[in-house]
Amino acid sequence: MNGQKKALIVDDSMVMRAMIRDILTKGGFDVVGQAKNGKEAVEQYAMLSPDLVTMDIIMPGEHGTDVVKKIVDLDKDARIIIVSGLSQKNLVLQALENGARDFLVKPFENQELLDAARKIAR
Amino acid sequence: MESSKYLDVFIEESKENLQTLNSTLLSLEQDGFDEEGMNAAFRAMHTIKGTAGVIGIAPIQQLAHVMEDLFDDLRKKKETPPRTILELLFAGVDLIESMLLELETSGSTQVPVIDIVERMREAMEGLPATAIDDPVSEESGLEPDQLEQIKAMLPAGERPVMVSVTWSNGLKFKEGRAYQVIRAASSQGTLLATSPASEDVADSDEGLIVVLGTTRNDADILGVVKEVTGVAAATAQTIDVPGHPAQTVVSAAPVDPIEQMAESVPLPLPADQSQAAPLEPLERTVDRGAECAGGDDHVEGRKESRSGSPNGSSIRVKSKLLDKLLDQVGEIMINNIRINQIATDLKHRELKQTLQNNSRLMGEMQDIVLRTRMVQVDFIFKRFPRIVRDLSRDNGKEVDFIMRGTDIEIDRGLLDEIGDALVHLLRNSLDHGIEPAAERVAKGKSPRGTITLSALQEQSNIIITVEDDGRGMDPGKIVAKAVSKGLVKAEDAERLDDRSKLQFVFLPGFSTAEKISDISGRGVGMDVVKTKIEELGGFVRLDSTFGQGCKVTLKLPPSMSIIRAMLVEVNGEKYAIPLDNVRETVRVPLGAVHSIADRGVFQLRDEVLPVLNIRAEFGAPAETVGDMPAVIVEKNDNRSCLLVSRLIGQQEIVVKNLGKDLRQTGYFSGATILGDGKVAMILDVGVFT
Repeated sequence: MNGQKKALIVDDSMVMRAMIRDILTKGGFDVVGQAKNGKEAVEQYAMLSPDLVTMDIIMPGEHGTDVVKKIVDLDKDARIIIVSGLSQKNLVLQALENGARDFLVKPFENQELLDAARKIAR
Repeated sequence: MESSKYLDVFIEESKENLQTLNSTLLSLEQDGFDEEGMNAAFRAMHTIKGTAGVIGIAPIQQLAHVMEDLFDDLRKKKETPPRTILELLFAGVDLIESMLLELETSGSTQVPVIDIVERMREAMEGLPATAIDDPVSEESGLEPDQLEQIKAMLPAGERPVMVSVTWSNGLKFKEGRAYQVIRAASSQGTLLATSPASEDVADSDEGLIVVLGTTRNDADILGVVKEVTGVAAATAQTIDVPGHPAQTVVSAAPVDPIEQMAESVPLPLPADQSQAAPLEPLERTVDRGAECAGGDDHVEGRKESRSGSPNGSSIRVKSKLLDKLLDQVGEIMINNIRINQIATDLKHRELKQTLQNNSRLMGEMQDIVLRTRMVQVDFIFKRFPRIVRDLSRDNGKEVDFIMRGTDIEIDRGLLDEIGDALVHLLRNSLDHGIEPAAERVAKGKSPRGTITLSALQEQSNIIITVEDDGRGMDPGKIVAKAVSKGLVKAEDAERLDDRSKLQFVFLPGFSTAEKISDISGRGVGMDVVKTKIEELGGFVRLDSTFGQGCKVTLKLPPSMSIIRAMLVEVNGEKYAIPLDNVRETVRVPLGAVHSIADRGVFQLRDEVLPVLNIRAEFGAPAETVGDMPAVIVEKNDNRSCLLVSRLIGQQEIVVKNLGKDLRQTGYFSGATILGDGKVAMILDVGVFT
């Protein structure tokens, strides 16, 4: 073990995945997985048991809210940060209710993501 | 946020999202409201807005934002929007597209969007009220006896604590942070009340007050509360609830805050906390969330089942990387052939067997690499309905546009290359082919024209056709034009059949348009299409029945880079002839080669073929006796007989592009590297036919 925290990024946007990956990697996280929909997210979570998940809300297929629920059902201690736009307030609340630990509103500063990630990660 | 390196990805992703938007708008216009499509459009717009914001491209973000709102409004209303709004949305998509183009070329965009954003906002205000009210506004206050409830709820042995939180400046989405504060505080005791109500948190400049019943000390409570992002400061103080037996600490705080909280609505709580706060509005809030998410789920579920869940695991790869991989695989295969040769020379059986295994594996690998480069033609086809729609509107023509075989797969590199040619053919059909409705009716045709774009696989080749039922081409008119342009002598032209006469349109500079059109222009046209397709190793065929329509067929090789070829030897050098161009091989007795008008001809069965002695063409003295192997080659329905020194056999070759100098000789379309490491030129059969 090298002590690096493992992160899984869930976002249907390639741009967002790349940016979050770079920010987390620079911040010392080991980005072990990237998923572009809920199905992949749950599969990868089960396989990788990451210490941190960043989760987009609006994705094709299941919404991030439901994916949070599925992941929390798998692992009560899952550490999920929601990444959302300002217009998804109800969904963010729903996701928090389903067990997400924190959220970020786009656009966010690199430091905001890192602060949240470090606070939340296992 | 550092963003420049994400710009390319952003542009590529946004272009794909614009495709989705375009097709949704088109089907909205033609077939009316479709919930699934509207949701997809909303998501596409949402992604564009979000990523543009993150990367810092304000004009796109602004425009996408208002368009997202419009789509959201429309999808909630479940009605086909009025034409004015559709046009605005189309214009918005176009504007974003042109901004992307500008970003691509100059790295920034300065297109003003205020005007269209304003118009969209106005249009939105003009829409009748949304059927589904904003759920937040339905919520009202608590039951009047909440204060009593709070008192009653305070468990024995707990003290009531008021936690006051102030927010950092400019905090986004306070409701969410408030939820987190309440959740954090609740982990330290029993939640009794909150203020202000959830829907007021966002607008309130005040902080948040949470009342807890707890046994923990203030520092513990504040510790978890201050962890929440956006909490600038937090204080805790014990409050006075008259008549409660658990009250042990007398506080300076007035009782009033709890009275005020009779107005407040607690925010939704985590599931495991919900029994601790059996307040009615809480349940309503939870239901609202479930409805909201559930509604969308339903739609998504339907989509998933209808499309058979196309989202298998996949990754994006830069096509340049795949090109390189394919190149490398080709090189390895070439090396393998060379090692094979060495093993044969060494007569090493074991080595040969191992190499054979290797060859098989490499063949499979090549197959896989080729397959990874395949995309459905829909990848570019899907932008055509929009183009046809716009052109037919500009032209005032009514057209049904049909696409077939959109799931046919083709090499991505090829597909990118033929896009412009296809647009050109579609424009030709619309501009020159399809007649105005009145003219069609007069001819006994239906007033609406039809243009069909189809793709199909024929053996390993991909055939793409563009067909219209318009006026077709007039061979007489084409010949007259060709003669007037000096492209052909009148007496020569007379001898040609109708199909041959049509071929003049492929000559550079030919155009039958009687007026200059801003659609097809003049002077560039079929010759450009033909050149492009032939460059790619394919060919173009034109069929037309005057008065009834026109059909252009493009035949493309399965891949640009690997083809099957016939290897031949000429003057000790090896050459490759693409197998697609080879009809058969024969031996030609030189005595049977006759000379007509300075050209050798040879009669093969009942066909007279021009004979070309490549040996002589490439500088060696021509033999006159004996017989020689020959390859009968074919291109664009023209055949000829190439005399060579020796036939070697068929082989897959990796096509390498040529430098400018060699291309200019005109004999060669490319080159390949053979097993012995030597370069073989690929003969451009078109030159010899």
